[in-house]
Amino acid sequence: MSKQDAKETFMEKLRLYTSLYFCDEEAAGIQNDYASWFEAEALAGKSNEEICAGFGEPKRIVRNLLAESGLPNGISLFFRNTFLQILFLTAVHFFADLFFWHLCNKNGWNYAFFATGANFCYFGAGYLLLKGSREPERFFLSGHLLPAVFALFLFLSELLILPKLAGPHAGPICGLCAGAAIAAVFGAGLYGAAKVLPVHRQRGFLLLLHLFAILNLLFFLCNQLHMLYADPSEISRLIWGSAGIYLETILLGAVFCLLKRNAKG
Amino acid sequence: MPSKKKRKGVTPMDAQLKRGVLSICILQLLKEKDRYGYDLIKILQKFFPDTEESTLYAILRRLHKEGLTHLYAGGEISHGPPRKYYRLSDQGEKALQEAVSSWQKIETILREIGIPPASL
Repeated sequence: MSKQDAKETFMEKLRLYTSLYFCDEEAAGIQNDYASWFEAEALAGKSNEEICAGFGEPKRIVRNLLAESGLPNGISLFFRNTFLQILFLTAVHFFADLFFWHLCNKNGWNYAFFATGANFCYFGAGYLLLKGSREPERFFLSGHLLPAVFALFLFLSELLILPKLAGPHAGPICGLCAGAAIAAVFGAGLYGAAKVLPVHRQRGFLLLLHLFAILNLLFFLCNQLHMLYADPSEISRLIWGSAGIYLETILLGAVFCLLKRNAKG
Repeated sequence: MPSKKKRKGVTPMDAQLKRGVLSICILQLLKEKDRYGYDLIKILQKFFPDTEESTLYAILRRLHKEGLTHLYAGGEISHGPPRKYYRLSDQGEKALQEAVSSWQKIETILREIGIPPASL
């Protein structure tokens, strides 16, 4: 493990555990204390590995803190912890998407309208939750545009591959691929939430917003597959529906960044 | 969270008793002068080498939450957050006096029942 890695791994774990058990203010206080002690020990000539060994495991630090102060009241903690609030909102969004998707498939409705509505509600609620949080500068590019490039890649793949897939087994193959992609996106979302959200709430929220757009794009693809094979000309509806879902996210993400930038200014 | 495994007999220093002693030590060290949190932990670790840094930190935070200390930002170190210094509050000074007086009473009782001071 490199010198930088030991410190970053320690701080990442500490941020995650403190974000789960303490309100925003307390978690930031604990994180700042350890960050400042890291600097003090480094100035005294200790290596990052030695410093981490002296501090002990972040999980144990949090356990000792909880043993001393007692377990927090769950409800009061939830209302003072934006990390848990965003996680809750994300879970609600995910299950609402699943429900609407199931409903659309059952009744033959177009899922794109539900997806855009659900994404908009998620954005609005997330913006209100993160209204007061401060973010380090330059979160715009890494938080917003990087996932957009991934989505563009996915969209172009859909555009180029789908028309060539007409055949007796094309439906199941597409369904399987979309299912695998949904599982991968869900895994990436959980990883993103665990890694980015405890450190940068806004960047993590933007990442989740993009991941939900990709997830909904894939749900929409599954939802519309039957239309594609009934009439090949329907593919344009599939492409424009997908584009609509993702363009909405890019637009919402940009609005979020601009509002936050203005609030900072 | 502390281990739930119960140990029989008298342990070298019961966890609860140790917490009390550490709290008195922290308050006494702060009575002498304001101190940077980590320096305080390092001083205490010299006297209690078996105690984890995080345990000392947890006690320090609890004392602060209970209003026994005040916090203020001191000199900054390069590229890092400002150093936080602890100062004993009036409430903390009162708590220290009470704790020391309780401790002296315990010492007297132990002496009276035959435990010599050197072995305390």
